[in-house]
Amino acid sequence: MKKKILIIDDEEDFATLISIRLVEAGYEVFSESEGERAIDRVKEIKPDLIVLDIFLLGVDGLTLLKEMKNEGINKVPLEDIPIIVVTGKAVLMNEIFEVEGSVGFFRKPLDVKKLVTRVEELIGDSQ
Amino acid sequence: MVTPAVQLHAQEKAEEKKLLLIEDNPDHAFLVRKAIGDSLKSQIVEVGSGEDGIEKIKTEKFDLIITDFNLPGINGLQVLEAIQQMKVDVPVIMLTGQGDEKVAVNAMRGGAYNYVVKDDICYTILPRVVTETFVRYGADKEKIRLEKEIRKKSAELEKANEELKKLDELKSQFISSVSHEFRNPLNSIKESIELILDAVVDPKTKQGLRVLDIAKNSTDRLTILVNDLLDFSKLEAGKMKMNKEPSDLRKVIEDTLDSQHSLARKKQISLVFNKPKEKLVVFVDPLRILQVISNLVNNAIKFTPAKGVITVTSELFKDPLEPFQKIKVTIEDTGEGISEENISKIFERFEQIKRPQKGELAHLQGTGLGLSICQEIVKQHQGTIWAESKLGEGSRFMFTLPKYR
Repeated sequence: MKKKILIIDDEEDFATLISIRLVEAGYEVFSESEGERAIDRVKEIKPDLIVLDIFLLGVDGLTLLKEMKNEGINKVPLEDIPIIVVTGKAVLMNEIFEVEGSVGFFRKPLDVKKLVTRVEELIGDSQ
Repeated sequence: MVTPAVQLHAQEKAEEKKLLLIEDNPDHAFLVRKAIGDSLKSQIVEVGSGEDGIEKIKTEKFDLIITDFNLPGINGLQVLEAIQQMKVDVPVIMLTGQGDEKVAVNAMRGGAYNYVVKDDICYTILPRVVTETFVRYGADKEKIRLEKEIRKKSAELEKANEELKKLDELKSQFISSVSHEFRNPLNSIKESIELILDAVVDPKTKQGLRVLDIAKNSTDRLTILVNDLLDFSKLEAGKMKMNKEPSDLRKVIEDTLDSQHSLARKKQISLVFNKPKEKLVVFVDPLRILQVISNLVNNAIKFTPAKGVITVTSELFKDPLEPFQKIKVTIEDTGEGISEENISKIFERFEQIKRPQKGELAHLQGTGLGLSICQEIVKQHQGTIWAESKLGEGSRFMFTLPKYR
């Protein structure tokens, strides 16, 4: 079975470009552009990895990250789901690192190939 | 320090001064009157008691008060005290008896400008004391005025400084957000091209077309950004040229709406033009006015939910404050409206109240300069631009242009 990745990013165009690369690499990719719906989608999809843009409309991505980490999904702690954080601003870096469990950090503009490499390291078949 | 100018000024004025003399001894009063009258042109009002003096001060305005200390009722110090309490702004000279240094000291402490010890020669020095009092009083007044002025000026400076600081802050924020705005579409363009170069997608397939479309949208977005920035820097430098000519506003509006129709259709928004039956000829740079209207219509599309309506109206308009008839253009939408707090800020430079809704229009997000550019263009056409809105009730953007005669 293919591993599942959920991209939470309000820039749909960019999410599309990322997902094409990830699909090419052999993953099943879902994307969600609305922060409010993100947690529901995580519960529904149960992804193996999440790519989260920290600047979302409506809900701010950092809050969402904390929420996912603290509450867990369906009482299953989220420690098991690696989250790669993508952000346009470096100032938030420390805050992001404080939230345990974010396993990757990418600054926009994002090199998608490097992102894919990181995904492979985390959940690739060689693991 | 008394400057000569102040001294001269004070002396000049001293010539027409109105004095109040409080003195119960008619002989002394006579001597005072004579001493002053000989050297200063002045009107002297005379009373014999402190109580009468205070009554006079209540009803008349004096330039100087000379009061004896030893008076039948209340004494000179009490008169001084009463003047202070009434907050009457007038210099006081106290006349004291010989050996009454304590009174003199108290008088000076109590706010008197000078004191004169009554002796044989006191009437010879009195005119000089009076003149000196006027000079010092004038200088004090000037000092207070200058201090007030300085306080006012420094408050103004502080305010200007605050405003500059705020503008500077906005500018830095703007630069950082603009560079961010530039990087994102560039990033998308690069990624799209790489997907095709790496043969991950075939440009001939549907997915390939989607990728190319993303690249195209991103270049559109970059174009908007670059144009805004260029316009803005031209406006800042006062170098934006207006090629004004008599133009039919109806055509300008129609051309604008034509260019916005496809975008509106994507969001299922109807664009309505209440076209007037007659030509509305305005003396404008048609391309710049087209830019203003398309910016306003574009904003309206961005902030109006699907199935909304945007109505453009142009009509004759008479501002009661202006002599000539003008033409007013209104762009009205059925969007969510703008709060009162934000509406005052929307024309300010770099202000961006919020981003448009996600999705296909996100790439059209502006720089926060669009409305300031509109405002500047309208201003250069001797027009005004303003907005009216209520949250939940849509927004109306209006601007006026001079009618061509």
